[in-house]
Amino acid sequence: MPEELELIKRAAGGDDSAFEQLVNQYQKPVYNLAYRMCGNPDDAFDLSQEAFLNAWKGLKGFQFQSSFSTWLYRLTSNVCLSYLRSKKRKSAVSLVFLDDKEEEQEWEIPDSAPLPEEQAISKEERRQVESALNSLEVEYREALALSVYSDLSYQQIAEIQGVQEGTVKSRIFRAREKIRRIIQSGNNSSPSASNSAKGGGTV
Amino acid sequence: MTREDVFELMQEDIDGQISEDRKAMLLAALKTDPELNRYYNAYQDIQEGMIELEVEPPEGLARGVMYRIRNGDKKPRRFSFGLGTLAAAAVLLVVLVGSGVLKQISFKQAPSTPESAGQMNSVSFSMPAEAVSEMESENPEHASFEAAPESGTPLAETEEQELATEMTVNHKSENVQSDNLEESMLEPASAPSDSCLNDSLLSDAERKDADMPTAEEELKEKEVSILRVYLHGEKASDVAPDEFLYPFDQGYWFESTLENAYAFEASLPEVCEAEFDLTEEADEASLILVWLIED
Repeated sequence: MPEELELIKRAAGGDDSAFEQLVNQYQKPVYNLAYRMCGNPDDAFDLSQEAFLNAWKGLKGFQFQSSFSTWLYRLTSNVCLSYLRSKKRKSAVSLVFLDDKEEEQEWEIPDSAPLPEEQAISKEERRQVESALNSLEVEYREALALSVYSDLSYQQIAEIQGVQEGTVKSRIFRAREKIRRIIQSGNNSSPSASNSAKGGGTV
Repeated sequence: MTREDVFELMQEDIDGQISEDRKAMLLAALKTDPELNRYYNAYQDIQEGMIELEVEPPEGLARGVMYRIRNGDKKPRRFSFGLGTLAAAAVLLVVLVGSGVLKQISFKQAPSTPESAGQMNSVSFSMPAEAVSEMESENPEHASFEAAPESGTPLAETEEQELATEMTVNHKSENVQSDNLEESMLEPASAPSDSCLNDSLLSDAERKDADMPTAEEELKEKEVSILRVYLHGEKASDVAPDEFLYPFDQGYWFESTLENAYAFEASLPEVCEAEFDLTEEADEASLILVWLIED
């Protein structure tokens, strides 16, 4: 981390070789975040570049009030959200954004409908996971991607998304639950567990 | 503990953010409830699926960023072997190679300027050796760069060599500059103007905007019948009509080229520098595409 701090300071001072090391270090999580948010590799490529360019331009003003990674992911997120909002053409991903009113802190607990016996995600079902992921609301995809690919804490994700930590946990849970339901409904014609009941009984 | 609590513990565990005592609580809950256990397994499977979806960034990402930073945010010129590029080669050669040996097909905008025409008999594209080798290694079935059989060659070998060595147009960043072109021994009947050269470098979208036929339409119009590929200055492959028209959509080796588009982009700064400045590095690898028209 001290090395990274040094790189950041040098980059902020205009040292592009230092910034290049940061780019190399962060390009994978940034690209994966952009990929999951926008849904295709070409857009992810362009948006990742834009995010890094924004970082380069904004680095002089970086105040170290948040970690560099959190700041960089927020820049990436902003670039992607801005792009998605302005996107007119048909998209491979859901462009639905969460309505503030529908954002709930409560967790929707899956009902007790039986799960398929075979729930394991096979190689083939990875495609289903991706398809289901792409159908989620942008904020859910973002939260899940930040958790899985950037290895961030709920608190850091909350900082990036500008929401409470509980909301992040809720979003990640809902994202997984939606994916589970989509996969289940795709694999099983029997009544799915899509009817959720809000938390209740005890274990 | 409510079920809600257990689901929260599940997420914390899957996300690697659970404390030891809460982990113990989760395990105890899962032990007593098979249904919760199945949910937990399902979420874990989804997590594994997500992890497997993680992708490596394209090779050119970091270099592209640094190129733009070091060049005032100027985007590197995309370099791909699309139909537009191939049509450019086709049109140039068709216009220039000409009479006696090959069927002369005039370019509709081509003026008669033999002096400049003599300098343009093929089109060369430079790419880094690593990109070429990647294409070859990743597409062994398409290793036509080195070993594809000749077919339909309308020229004698010596004439082919002449074309390969003497008919070179250096493909510049934004346009083709004739002052760096080699002299040709052939005297074509007509030659394209600079604007023709520029036009031929347009993408299909740009052609459409300019109210021009697409590259594919132009190829059909010109009855281009053989694609000749030169690698490192040596002939590597002839591609028959049904192959080079088919592949663009269906995955013959040009699609494999396109699949490596990022590899090309990755090295764009170097390629551009080598090409534009005509430094020695430009000769490290050169793929020359030549369209020939059968007599």
